Amino acid sequence: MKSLAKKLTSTFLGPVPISRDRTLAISERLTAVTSLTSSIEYITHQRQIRRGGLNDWTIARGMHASSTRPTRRLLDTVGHPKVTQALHVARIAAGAALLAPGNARWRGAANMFLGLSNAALYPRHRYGTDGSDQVSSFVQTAAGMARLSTQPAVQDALLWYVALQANLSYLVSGWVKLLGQPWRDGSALNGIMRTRTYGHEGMWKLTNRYPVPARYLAHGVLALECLFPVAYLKGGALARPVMASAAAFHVANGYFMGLGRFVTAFEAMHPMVAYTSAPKSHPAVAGRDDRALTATASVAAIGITIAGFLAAMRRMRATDPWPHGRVLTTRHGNELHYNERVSENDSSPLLVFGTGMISTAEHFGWITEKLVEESDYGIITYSRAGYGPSRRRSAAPFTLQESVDDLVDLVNGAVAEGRKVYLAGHSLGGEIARRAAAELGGRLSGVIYLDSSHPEELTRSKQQQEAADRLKDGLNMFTGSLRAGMGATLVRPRWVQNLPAEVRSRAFAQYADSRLWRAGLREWDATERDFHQFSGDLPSVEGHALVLSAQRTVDRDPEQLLMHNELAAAHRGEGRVIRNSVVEGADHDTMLTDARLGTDVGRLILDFLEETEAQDGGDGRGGTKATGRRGSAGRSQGNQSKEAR
Amino acid sequence: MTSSPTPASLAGTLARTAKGTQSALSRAFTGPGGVTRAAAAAVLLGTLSAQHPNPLFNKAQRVDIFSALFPNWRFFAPTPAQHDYHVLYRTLNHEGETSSWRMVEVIVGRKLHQMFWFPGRRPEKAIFDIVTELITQLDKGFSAMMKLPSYRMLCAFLRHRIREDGAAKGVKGFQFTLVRATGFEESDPEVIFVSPYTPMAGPGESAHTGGALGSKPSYDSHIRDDSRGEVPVQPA
Repeated sequence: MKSLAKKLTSTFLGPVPISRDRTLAISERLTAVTSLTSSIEYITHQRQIRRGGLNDWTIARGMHASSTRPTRRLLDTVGHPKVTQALHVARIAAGAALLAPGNARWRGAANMFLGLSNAALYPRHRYGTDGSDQVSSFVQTAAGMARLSTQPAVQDALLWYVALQANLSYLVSGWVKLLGQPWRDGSALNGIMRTRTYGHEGMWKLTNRYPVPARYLAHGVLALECLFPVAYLKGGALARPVMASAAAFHVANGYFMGLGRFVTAFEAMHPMVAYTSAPKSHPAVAGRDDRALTATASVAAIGITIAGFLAAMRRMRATDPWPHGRVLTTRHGNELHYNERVSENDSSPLLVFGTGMISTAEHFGWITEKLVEESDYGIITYSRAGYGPSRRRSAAPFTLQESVDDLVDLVNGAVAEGRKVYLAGHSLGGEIARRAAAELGGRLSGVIYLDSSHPEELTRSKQQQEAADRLKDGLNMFTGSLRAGMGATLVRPRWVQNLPAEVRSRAFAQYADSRLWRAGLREWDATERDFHQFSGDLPSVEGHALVLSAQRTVDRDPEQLLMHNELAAAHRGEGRVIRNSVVEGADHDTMLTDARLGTDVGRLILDFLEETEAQDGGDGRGGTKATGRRGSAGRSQGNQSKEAR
Repeated sequence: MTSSPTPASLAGTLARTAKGTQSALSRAFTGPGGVTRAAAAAVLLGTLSAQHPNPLFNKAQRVDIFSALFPNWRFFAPTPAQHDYHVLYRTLNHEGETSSWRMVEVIVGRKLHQMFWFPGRRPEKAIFDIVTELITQLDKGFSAMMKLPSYRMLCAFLRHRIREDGAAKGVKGFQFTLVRATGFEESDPEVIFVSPYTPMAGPGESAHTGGALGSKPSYDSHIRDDSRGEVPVQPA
């Protein structure tokens, strides 16, 4: 009885000690099978790489426009159908040769060829590629380099590299799954199995009939992936069951999901896991060089330090006051930083620009540039509390009213009494402007709504409702990631590139800093509460109104256009100018951030102001002094556009 | 034995530890294989940095056009594919008659032998990739979508398909739609996208009709450099 237990234990538990040479030998053969199958499949089915196929290179090459010329030349060469075909033939030969017995050095070259040609062919077969291709590329390259090297230290470094990638593959796949609801509630398996692409009808029916075991199975897969590195504990005591479970998992995926190539591709990493998880005391792995672990840990520590340093630098840049900016403390104690264009003509009207949620004052770059170039109007851009250099000092729970009060205080504190004021607001900034307008009463000449929010949009617009559900999760994830210092991995978005050159770095620093997102999250919560409480008609607002809608916003949801019309209607009254317009080709953001569209918006604002000023100035046509707009010939001396942004 | 460590002995221990760490660190990057270890560690860090579920955080992956350095390990995560994507099209002939909708059949269904031999997996996944890519671009509008290689590829594919089916006679154009279905589970398919009318005369085939679809294949647009949904949709 005792001996049976011992036998079972030794069969199911313990490390899988294999030598360096054996590791390479098994791995390269497994991965050669993947390449062999893949290339034979490609070569016998070439339809997709010809004209009219799903990987027609004459079209696909357009994806690499931004690559360097040598890269494009290489891609075009590989992309030629004859070259693609020749490469596959050579790959079939190399793959088949590697299956033969032996340990010769040429195998290294064959492996390298398979790995590198696979990488070169990746863009060629872009649509339809999968994880097995990615795994094969680096396993073959690493195995090839290890074979070609004569130094055990180099070989061990490469074997450790593959082993660590294997661990990472299971870990990432597992832990990221935990972020998804279908994996957490265990419904994922049923969901995948019902598809014809990756599913299996029989298995799907089983998961329907036995939902509880199906859930256990899904959670079991999760546990296996999330805990894969336990194979390394206690001298590899669990290596055998962990690797066996993973192998069973891959075979099951191969059978039920049609992912046959994944079996050999992923199993090709397991010899490295076996080699590195065996205790060094075992003769098969004696003399193994484990310094790769220290090296990886050190590089990770350096990476994290650099990411932290970059985050600190970005924070500094993001909260840097404008060179000629000013500060005002509002009734809530909030410090508002604002940037004022000092107009030579201080009797001209002044515009105060308010941003949307999760935006920067720099978003108004193109609009203010247009206004500075073609008019003498005063311009104030400001950061709401918590954004950019502005600080939120209030300890009270945040409500939208606080932002409205701040804006009212800014106008009263920063604009000389008697000077005409227009409030311009984008998105949520439009709604804040509308409410502030009611409080400013006679001080205010008009409101300019730029694809503005409407307090009923969350209940009336289906599009906004759907977006709202996703938004909160997205915001939380973004904020958390940035707080964890991941801003360094953030892609510079196109809208930043589209802004005027001198404001880009400032805009990106704010976007990649968690502060902007935390402020946005706070505003979003308040907005959601506030908007859901709103009912009835919009109260009447004094002053002229210009309501600009982005075409994409109203195309996607006509209800938005109705709501924008209501914003305009709230301004109806004797002697008021009310203008609505849809900015063609614009979406919610590009109406500000795109050079042409932003300039269009600036022009519409100028036209509107000219009309309202002419109206307010009576029939006197007070000349340029009253309208503030210059003729196209009249360029301002000492262009202060930079300050105005 | 139970005496607490004196400050001097503590400092000594610390110094020894620091020295030990230092030598372990320097040994990690020097000697045979030092460069390999450093490079491997850097690639591993790069791989880790490219695993964020939000693609906006995957700067590293954009550099890796060959997908060889920084593999994507987020298989079926965080949200797995739980739908099949289908492409349907209908044609318009010179008489102004519209055909009925036809489905492009690429999904072949599960068979045991696919475990060892499954060439159909590639086109199946290709349609899946193209549709997934187009879905992320829906909010950019028709004009932006039409410039995408994936969109143009799909149009060229359909043109070819219509000709191959022998149904091209007298056809001047077509329209396609992308549909999401729940596979074996019976439910109404969901239409995700309906294309505008697309002429049969494709790029470089005849005096084309102009517009985005008629343009020559060129380097004018690319999906790697785009900014898919920079900021989550902002309702406010």
